[in-house]
Amino acid sequence: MGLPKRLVSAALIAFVGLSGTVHAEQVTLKFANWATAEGATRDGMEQVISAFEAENPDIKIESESIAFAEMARQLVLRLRSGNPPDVAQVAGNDTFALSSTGGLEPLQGYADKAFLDTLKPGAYEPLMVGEDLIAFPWNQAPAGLWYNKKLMEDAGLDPEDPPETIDELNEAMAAIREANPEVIVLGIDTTNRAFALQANWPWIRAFGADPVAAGGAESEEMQAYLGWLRDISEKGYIDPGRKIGEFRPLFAQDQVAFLWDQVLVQGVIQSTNGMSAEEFNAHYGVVPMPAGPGGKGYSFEGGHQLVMFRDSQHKEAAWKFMKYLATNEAAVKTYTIETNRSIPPAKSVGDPAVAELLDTPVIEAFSNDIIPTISPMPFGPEFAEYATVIMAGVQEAVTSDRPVADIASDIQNQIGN
Amino acid sequence: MPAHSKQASSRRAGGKAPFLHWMVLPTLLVLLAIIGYPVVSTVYLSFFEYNLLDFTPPEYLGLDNFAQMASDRIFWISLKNTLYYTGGTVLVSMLIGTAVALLLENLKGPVWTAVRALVVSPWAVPFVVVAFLFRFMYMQNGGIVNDILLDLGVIGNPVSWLNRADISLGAIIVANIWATTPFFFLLVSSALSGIPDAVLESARVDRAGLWSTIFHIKLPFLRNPLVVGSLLMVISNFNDFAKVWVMTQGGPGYATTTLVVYVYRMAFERFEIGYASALGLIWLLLLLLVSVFYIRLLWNRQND
Amino acid sequence: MARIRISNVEKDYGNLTVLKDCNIDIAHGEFVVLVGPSGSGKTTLLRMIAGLETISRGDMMFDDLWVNNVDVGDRNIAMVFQNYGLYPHMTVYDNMAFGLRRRRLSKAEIDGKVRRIATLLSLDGLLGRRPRQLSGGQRQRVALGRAIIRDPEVFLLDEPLSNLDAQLRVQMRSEIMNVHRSVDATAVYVTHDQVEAMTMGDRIAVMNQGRIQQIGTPEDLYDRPRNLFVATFIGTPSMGILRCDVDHGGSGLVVRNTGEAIALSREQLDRIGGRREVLAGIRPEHLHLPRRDAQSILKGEVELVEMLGSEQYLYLGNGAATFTARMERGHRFSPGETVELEIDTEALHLFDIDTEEAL
Repeated sequence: MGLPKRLVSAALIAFVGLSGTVHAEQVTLKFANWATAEGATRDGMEQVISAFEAENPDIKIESESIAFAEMARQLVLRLRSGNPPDVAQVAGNDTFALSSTGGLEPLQGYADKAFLDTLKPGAYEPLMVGEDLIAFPWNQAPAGLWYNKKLMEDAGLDPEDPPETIDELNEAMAAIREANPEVIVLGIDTTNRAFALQANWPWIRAFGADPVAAGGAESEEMQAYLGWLRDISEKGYIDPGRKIGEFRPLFAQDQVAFLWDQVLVQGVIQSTNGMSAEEFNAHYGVVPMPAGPGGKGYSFEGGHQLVMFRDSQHKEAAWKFMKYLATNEAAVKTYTIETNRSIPPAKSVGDPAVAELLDTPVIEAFSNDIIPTISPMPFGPEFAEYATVIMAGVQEAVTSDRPVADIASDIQNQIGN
Repeated sequence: MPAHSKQASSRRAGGKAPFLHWMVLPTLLVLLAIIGYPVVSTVYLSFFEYNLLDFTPPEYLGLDNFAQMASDRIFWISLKNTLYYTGGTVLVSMLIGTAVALLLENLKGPVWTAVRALVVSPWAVPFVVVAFLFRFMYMQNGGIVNDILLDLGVIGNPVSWLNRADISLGAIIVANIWATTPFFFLLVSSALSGIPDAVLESARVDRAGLWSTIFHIKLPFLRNPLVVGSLLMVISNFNDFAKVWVMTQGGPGYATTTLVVYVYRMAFERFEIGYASALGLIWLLLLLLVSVFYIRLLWNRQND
Repeated sequence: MARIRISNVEKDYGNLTVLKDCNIDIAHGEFVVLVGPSGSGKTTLLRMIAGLETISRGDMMFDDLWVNNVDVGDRNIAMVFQNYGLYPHMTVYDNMAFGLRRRRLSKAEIDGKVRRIATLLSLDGLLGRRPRQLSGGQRQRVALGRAIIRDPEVFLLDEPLSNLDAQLRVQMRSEIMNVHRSVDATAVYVTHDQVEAMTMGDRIAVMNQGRIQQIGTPEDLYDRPRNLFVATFIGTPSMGILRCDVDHGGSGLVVRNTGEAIALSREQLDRIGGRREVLAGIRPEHLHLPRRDAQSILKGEVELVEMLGSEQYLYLGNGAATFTARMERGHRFSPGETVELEIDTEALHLFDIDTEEAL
């Protein structure tokens, strides 16, 4: 070979050799998430990732931005083709659908009993499948009944005494409608999506119904639930077909009286109308769901979890990252609380700055009163179909005159349990 | 001498042609890969029980998927919805488009040019935008459709257009008609301008009135373009996913679930790839049938 | 039958006036031909008679009825278009029946009429066919049939034979003439072919550049053309035109460039008046081989010899002009040869050099 060629090959070898050494030290984790895909959460998420990388120079995080609606699909397809990420952000039914593929790494080996005891009661238990902890709770975002104190006052109701039973709720709604014909009295998601079933499941349970249990869909309790929906729809209290997110700006402008929504509402409202925390607490409040005929109210976990994939080549590093995201107090402050407006799973925090952030009436209500009422959900491969069928029945109850018994019977036939 | 040179030239021409055939090969290969492979794969998968979430090997079912389809209530509902959606859209768009084209045919001047541009403009709107547009227009509270109808006194209370099982299909069909009519308007307008003047003038000499001229003289000229145009629209509406999905996601219940939406949900929400492939196969066969019917219609006319 | 009177009719397209000063009086049952080159306005005039074009200025009368604003369908005319204008999706039968059906005649009446006309034009076997299945000549006849069946007062034909081959054209010409005789209607016929005009027309209107140049019988136009255009347009081969200076002293003309002398009669000189130069026109039949004592000799170089069987035409040039001579076939001429020919000066046509009008 001539001299130039020799120089080139020498350079190539040196380069490969160098990168080889770099490779031996550094681990790259692929983190599939929608946090970096959405404008509201992107900056916070990236900040936390950078902070983690700074503390762990041997781990590099490759963030894969995937839209929320696409996440399950993408993960299943990638599992199929053999190149799943190391860690993924998941929520709702997707967590359990993924688990059923057998592609997730059980986490109880990494999160020992002592560690799990540092979490709030009810934080990780719903994520157990048999003996396996299939996912780790990251952001908790249960739903509660938000109320607008001003609108309540205008209707002659006591803003410090929100409804505690559904009957009281009905009365309050009637008062508000009479005082103010223009507002949406109760903001609730009645769309066709799987999320809508999650959101409405607590209400169904509050009436004592279980449509996926044997014969449960045509039970009296289910009919009572559907009948209640029809009633409030006929009275014009609700706005069918709107997605939950579409109520929030209206809530910020005093156009919704009661809103069944998650803990993030406070953040959204404050950024919409620029209120300070004091102003917010003076104007709005949140309580657990009013008790149904069965005597109890429920909630659902609308937050996000983290999962690790069996195929990951860097499980130790992956766990390190997951633990950091969920429990590192700086990460919790930046992302979980300030960016995502949710609640960390930890029972208590050491950093006083963080503790202060968690010491608000709203978060107290959620942590202490609401999280314990989270109801289990019929997650699984059938969930999407349940959602279609049940929400179709809900929509029919809410928009037509068809006898509730018939609607319930239809649901029963289609679910076939 | 002349015979000899004729042979020579045809030999030369024959020599050229095979080379041209080879030139098409790369395109054919690409098409085979992009279209052929998925089709073959779909046909193959349709005989299996194959759920993406299930990592056990797919189970051979023979024709069971198709038997299940025959008794699958939702399949028949989706088929019916697809027929209504496609047929309703194409028929009404064709009627309105033709009528408007006939109306505006001979009107000249800048005002009418602007009117024509307006009639054509929905075609320029991306279909996803159309879907969102109508979704907002149809909202029960705050949607402009309800506002106008309430003001005009046509309805007493706001109507939930997209959430009622009885009218949601009609509502999305209306949206689709709005988006499809410009196509037929353009098609018919250009066909009308292609009618020889002498034919129209003969009709005038023959004292044919407005309706006679339209019915006996103009419509026969529109037959072939309308056949081709409606075939195109039938196929594209058969496959229309975006509009339905954005407006109703196939709901409420299954009221607006067309075959496409059903296949999508089956494949990508339930991950039942096997059954979805079987549905897809039936869908493909239906479209092929439609195409064959149309092509025969065209062919016969040409050989007439 | 109707009498058509066209008075001072003019047509504008935007700012452009395409027809100026048209005056024709067409009698009942007359066959009038509008002839002229492309763009002369003949088709426009025909379409104005039909009512397919509006009249910008002037009056159009059918039998003392002012019809300027009368709609096409109400003028009781029938039109045969250059491209026939047959309804392509209907059978021959329906093409002919269409107009009658519009007028709500009974089925039996319509059937009778269609079959009668079909027989008249030898279309019997073709009644079930569609236009695309017919030959050019057959389509032409269907178009004629469609016109005849309307029983109109006026037939308008717009170059109906220009799409046919020569032999068919001749045949159809006589068919049209026969039909005209048998139906006894007024007819206006447009063509660019002056031979067609000369053979078919009772009277001919020669048009050029939007004006009617001259109206007259074929003989009128041939023997007494009113201007240079008509003179050179009518007659095949066309009249030869020579630029000449007037030799007042010598009582004749001197051909430019060649200096040849042409003797003129007193009457001709009177017509010339004081002009210094004129254009002289010579028809081919007015040139022949010189006799004894021939005066007025024209010399020319043979450019082309056209042998027509019974006679021959010599196409000659003299450096400044070209002209044609009709010769008997006896003599043999060859291109390049210089020939001397005598002019029948009495038959000479004279034109003013500026206005091009006949003197």
